[in-house]
Amino acid sequence: MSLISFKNLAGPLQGWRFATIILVAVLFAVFRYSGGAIQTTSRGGELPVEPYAPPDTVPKASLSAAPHKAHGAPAFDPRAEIGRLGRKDAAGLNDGTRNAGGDLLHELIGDQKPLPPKQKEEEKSASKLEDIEKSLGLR
Amino acid sequence: MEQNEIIIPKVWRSEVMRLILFFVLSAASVVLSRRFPGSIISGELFTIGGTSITLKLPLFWLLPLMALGSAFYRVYNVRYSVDSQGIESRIGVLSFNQITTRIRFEDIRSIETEQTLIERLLDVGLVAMGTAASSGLEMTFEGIAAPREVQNMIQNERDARIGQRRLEERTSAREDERTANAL
Repeated sequence: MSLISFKNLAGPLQGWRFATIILVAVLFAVFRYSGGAIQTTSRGGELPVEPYAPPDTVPKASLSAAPHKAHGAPAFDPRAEIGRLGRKDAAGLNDGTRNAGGDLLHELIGDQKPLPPKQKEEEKSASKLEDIEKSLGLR
Repeated sequence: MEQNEIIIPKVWRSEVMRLILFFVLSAASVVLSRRFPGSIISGELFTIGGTSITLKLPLFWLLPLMALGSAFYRVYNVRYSVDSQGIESRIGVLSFNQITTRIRFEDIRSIETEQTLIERLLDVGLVAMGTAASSGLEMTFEGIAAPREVQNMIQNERDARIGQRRLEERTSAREDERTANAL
């Protein structure tokens, strides 16, 4: 008879042996319910545990005092940003107004003014009418 | 250990009073430990590689532990067996001092059983055997299941052995007579 057989595997779970297992399990359950425990603690110095904060929430105090510090990013420096973009004159950005950004855009795209939408439509319809007249030989 | 050895275990239900005590003390341990948290003591057991193992031990839990330990000791401290030669009782398996008694089937003169009312309900009891060598009972199987069946088994085996021995004695006596007549 082989050692790995149902009879040998089920042997400890029969009769009085099974009762022993159950009683020891009950004793352990009583130990746990009574407040007993076996704990392991590392002596190498525990890491400081910070309270969990969801990624989209930032403490209000740190947000009002220094927004960049809340995310651990360096402080925003307009001069350094202009230098990175290749702009030498950062005078317009130093005041921190919207107008400074607008001047920069104006310099980049030139003096062209965007046409009003109604005028665009009239020009489009006129060109289409000319094409039809040309195709019919009226012009 | 012989091949045809039959182990007759002492069963847990023979210690029914200790088991009842164990369950009562278990419930008391849980209640009292929660009512008196100061009874749970904590201490470091040992340290392995910078990790210390700490035990939180509820003192009231020692009561059911002792009750179960006592029952466990009484159940596992004895070992009764029956083989083709006779019966054997080993008392003190978990002790420093062990007493082993062995009786051949042919030497058994009386077999008795003893059961209390609760033991009869639970079908456990005591089987005691006496020999011609001693006036009292020489061996007892305490707390075994189905004591009447065990008694019958030993009785039948003893009768068979005694019958076989008598047959052999008669055969040898006849052979002796024949030899004497021939001479």
